[in-house]
Amino acid sequence: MTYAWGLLASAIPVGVGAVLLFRAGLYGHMHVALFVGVAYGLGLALISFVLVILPVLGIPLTLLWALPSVGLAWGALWFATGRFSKHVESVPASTPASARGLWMRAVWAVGLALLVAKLGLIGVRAMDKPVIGWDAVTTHSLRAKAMYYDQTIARSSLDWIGSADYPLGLPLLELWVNWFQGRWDDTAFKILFPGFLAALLAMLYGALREVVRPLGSLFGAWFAASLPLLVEHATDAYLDLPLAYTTLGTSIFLWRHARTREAHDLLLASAMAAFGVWIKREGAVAFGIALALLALWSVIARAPVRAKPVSTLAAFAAMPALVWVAWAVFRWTALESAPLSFQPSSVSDFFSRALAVAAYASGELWRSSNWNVLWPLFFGVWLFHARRSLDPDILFFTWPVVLTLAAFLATSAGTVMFDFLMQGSTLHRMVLHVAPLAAFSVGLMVGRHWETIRARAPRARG
Amino acid sequence: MVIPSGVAPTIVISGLAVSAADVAYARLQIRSPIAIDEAYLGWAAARRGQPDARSNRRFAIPRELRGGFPRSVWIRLDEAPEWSGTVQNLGLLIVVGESGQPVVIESIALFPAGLLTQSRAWWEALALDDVAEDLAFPLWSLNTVRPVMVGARTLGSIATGVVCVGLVLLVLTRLKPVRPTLSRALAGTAIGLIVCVAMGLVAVAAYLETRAFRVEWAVFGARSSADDYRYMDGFDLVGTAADLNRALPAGTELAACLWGNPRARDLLSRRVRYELYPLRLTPDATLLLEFDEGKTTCRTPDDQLILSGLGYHVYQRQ
Repeated sequence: MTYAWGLLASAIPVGVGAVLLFRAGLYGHMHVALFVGVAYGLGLALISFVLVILPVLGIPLTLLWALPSVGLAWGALWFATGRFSKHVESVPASTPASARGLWMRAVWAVGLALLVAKLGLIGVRAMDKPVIGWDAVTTHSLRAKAMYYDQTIARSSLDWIGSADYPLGLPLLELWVNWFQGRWDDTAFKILFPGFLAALLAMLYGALREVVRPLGSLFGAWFAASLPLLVEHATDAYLDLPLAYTTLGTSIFLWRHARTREAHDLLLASAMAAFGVWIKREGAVAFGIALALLALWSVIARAPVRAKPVSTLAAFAAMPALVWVAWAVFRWTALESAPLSFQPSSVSDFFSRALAVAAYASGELWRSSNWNVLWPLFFGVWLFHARRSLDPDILFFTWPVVLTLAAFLATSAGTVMFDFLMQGSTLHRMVLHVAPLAAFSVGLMVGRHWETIRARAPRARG
Repeated sequence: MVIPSGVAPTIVISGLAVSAADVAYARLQIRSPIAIDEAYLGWAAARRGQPDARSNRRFAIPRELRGGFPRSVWIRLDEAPEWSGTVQNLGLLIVVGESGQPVVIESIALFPAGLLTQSRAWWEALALDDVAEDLAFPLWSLNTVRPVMVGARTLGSIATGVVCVGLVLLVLTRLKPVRPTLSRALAGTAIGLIVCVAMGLVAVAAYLETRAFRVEWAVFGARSSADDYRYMDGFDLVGTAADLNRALPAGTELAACLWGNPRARDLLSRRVRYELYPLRLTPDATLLLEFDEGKTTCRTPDDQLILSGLGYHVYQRQ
């Protein structure tokens, strides 16, 4: 029954998100895999935002109250999206299914079946053991457990449990899943994590399909699905995989917006960034970088039809900024526990450490078993397309990776984070936030190159 | 065959008549609850026109995988000069010290030289099972996955090197003086290299995940979370937490008497804190929780026992 109730608790967000997207006229606007992948995150984001409001209104945090509250919020959004939805031009997939040969279809079907089987295996791995991960037991799953028993978000519990720097998005979702079990279950809520991986891969495949043929897109999805640390995080309850999911989603919809100019894509990017800010503190960094790149695209890039920078940035920034400000105000005014210390080091310390940090990080990226050959391919592909650095393909997928890594390494060199980095406990988890972006970037650039070669080939011309 | 406990138990297989020229490797399938650094496979061989040869090869035995999975140890014999003639006896000496833990030898097999045998020995030397076991118990593996070692190098560094060669070849194809036919050949070679490496790593990842799943299923599969945690914690913390939550009102504060080095104590305190909730673990509480498991006492003679259960005691501090 754990599986059945867990699947139901995960299916509801997909349904909630899918109906809203459908209502907004976005079915057909994007590949079905991208549609399903983003629906999962959209539904989860809605649920977690609704749940945090209940205690503020003095309503008990129980399933009995949560279900109608989520339903009410969903109904309001359904009504609102219906009023403001308009006909949306669909973004066609690169090739219709009928254009593929029998051989290609067979390979694609086998590849897809194997990928589904792999996800099934990962799902069983996640669900055959209780939560073990340090951060989960120390902070966010304990917070969820406290919310379950307290039936509210008690400030005393938040303070007692530890660093208040962790936002509440994921604990609320773990609480949501466990309500369906009717008891606190140390295993059930982990179903969220293979769900995040499946949704991430679905988004990656669906977005690639808009540029690359089915088989190439499937190779891209397999490439990402074989990154060992990404898969490992789908088997336990850490915050890094969900943040990787929202970071990829944000970039994909900004990239789509750059091509379609549709407000829907911008709003979906904004929703994903807001969810990222609500999941982990580093989500604010991802949001800031995305905002800066969107500003760059709006103002500097040679867009065929120049975007309106202020309204574009405001539309994107509104939701994540609201979440960040609301959480920051609550955190600083209501909680007493000390935030994580980031006492900066001296300038001389910074420069002496920077070399050590750069050497360590570059060595780890090349040598470790976490990323297979992602990083040489990522930097190699970037090198080949360096002249196109302001194209949306590179602007929204390559630069976020580079800037995130640079920001993290600079912070590590300049603060107490240096010790954690050199112990090996933070680097790869930080890299995980942007690894799917890097995998997408490689898939996109190789796919585009391949499509160009095909278009030039005599057979294709004929 | 079970080797009983002892400082250095020995077994001898006699009555063999194996031509050393036909054998290049020995493979032991072995289950040992501890890693053993020092073990010897010895042999006695009759040689025409020469004195009989007696020699041995030293090897190490890795600990069995959790869940009771045996490990394979491949020992190369044909490189030893004394491996010649007709092998009549094989002997196995395992230095286990006073562990008292039995070592199980599931099989000893001899293999001829050949590509298949070498490949199997090479594959085993990658120690992928150790990596898979780490993946099955996500403590450190959520920070970084243990690297797969090929000799002294990591598989990642070798794969990266090959991919970099491929990328350099691709750069060469863009140089103007390169003829189109050469350029196509270079590009084909480069893409072939990169695809082969990527596919190989996908296969290794699939093996690791499948193996991790087998270990997890053997250890955790079809058991309750309480059983799983009992295995991980080494004692029944979940049962204790359930007992205490029945006996004490929610929100009651307890201090716990923990044990081990600072790192182990910190880990344990986090687990106890998580498991006890809605009881709260705080160092200054007036109730003191002691576990039999730790064999550690923090109470004073004045403290009064107020609650006792299987493996734990709660004292009122004075």
